[in-house]
Amino acid sequence: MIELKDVTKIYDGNVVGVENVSLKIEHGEFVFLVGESGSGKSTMLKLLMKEVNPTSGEIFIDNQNVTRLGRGKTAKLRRKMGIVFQDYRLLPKKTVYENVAFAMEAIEETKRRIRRNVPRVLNMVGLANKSKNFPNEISGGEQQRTAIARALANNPTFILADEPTGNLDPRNSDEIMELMEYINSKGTTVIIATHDQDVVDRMQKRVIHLVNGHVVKDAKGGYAI
Amino acid sequence: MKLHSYGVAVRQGLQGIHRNRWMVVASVLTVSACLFILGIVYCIVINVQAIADELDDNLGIVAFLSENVSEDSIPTLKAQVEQMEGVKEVVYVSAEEAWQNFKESMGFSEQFGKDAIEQLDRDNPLANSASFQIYLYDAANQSAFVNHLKTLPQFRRIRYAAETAEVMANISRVITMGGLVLILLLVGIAILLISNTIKLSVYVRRNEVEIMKYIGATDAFVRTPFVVEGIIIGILGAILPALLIYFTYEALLALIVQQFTTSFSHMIHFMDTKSIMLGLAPIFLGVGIVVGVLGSLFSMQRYLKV
Repeated sequence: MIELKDVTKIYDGNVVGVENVSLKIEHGEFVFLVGESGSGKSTMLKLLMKEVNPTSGEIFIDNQNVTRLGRGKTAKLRRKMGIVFQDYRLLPKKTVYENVAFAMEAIEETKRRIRRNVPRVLNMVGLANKSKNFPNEISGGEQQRTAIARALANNPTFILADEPTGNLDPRNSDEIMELMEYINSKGTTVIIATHDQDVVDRMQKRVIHLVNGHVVKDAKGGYAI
Repeated sequence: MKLHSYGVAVRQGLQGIHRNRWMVVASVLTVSACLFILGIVYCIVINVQAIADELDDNLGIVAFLSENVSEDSIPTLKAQVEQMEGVKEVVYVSAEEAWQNFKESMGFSEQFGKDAIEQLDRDNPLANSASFQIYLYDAANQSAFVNHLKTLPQFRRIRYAAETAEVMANISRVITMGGLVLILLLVGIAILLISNTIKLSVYVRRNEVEIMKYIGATDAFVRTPFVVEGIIIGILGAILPALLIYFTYEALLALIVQQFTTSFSHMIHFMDTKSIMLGLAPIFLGVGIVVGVLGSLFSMQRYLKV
């Protein structure tokens, strides 16, 4: 479970990221963080993945106060999260398989577990037949699915995705969202920051709408406030 | 960090070396230059110290006993001197022994007739030359010690090699200080260059490093391949000057022995190549590794903050 208690993040130069945000996200939820550019969606994700610390307020993840964590504990916390970026951030010189295996190597998993788990997640995202391809040999949708497979490799409790469909056409976007829903159905909490109205309207999930760093709507339904 | 991760780190470190090999060559050469100069300073200091020690040993303080000192009181006096601060050893040389030593060292027996020597043996020319040879732990304290001895009535005259000892000590000190300053400067440059080389390596892999941090890799895991790279540069940088010093020193030693055989060789002994290298090799390796580790750690700081 994720809980934010009156969280404010003000960047240098008095730029407001988010202000007085309080909310709870339960295990197994599917949540959209929506809003215009600069509304605070990305700040919310950065707070959750501990890229930035809040200026005030407190953040709890699985009942652990993570408002301020040392570097070692931050690393541990991040192992609970699978992070997906808009630009995929795959390593161009590694194959699809190696990109996914890399996530497990980074947290020092054994070779045996890597050999067992990578095919499983590649199968889950429908890329079993592309495992030997390099990122530049596959489509944008497939690259994003590789990135999702990488995020899933370490069996995270949460998936945090920042505009995962931002670089994709509608068909590929739909496929990625279907995949996210499938992952969610297996019990993983999914939090997606996006400003893709069509996708949000179609999915009819919980929507947290941010305007100028404030939560203006937190309800199941479409994008509109 | 888990054990099997070290294998991964070494592999990645070697890849990094291969990827920017030209920067690596530049760094290795800088470390080599730095260690080479360190090696030269080391050779000089060690030899000057060895020679100074040898001189100290040979040129102890000779304190001649006054005529009114009786045979019986000599052991007490000797014990008294031995108790003084800084004294390593006191040797009593009787008048007879002094004469025997003198005879031998001058080779009298061959130059004068047997009769003349026997005559002199009976009538010891060094009759009043009973003395203490006093050796101190540190030659630098000689002057003060001698001044103290001069106040005692039991000694009539004191001879010592104060100037030689002090000059040697000073030379040794100046070379050590000058060498240290030069070495510190060079070590600084070497660290800077290694850190730049590895920064390049980190830059090439910055996406990888960033993703690793997001995935939850520990700092140690992210850092180790780059530290390995630094250590490899340091070790490579140590091997080159070690070989260079070995061959240069060997050649120089042969030259000196050849040129100055008659006048020098029995007075001054230079350290042999083996003992120089035995002392130098661990220093080179240690400095190389430390410089490599520091260089890589400095280069990483910025990229670990994700």
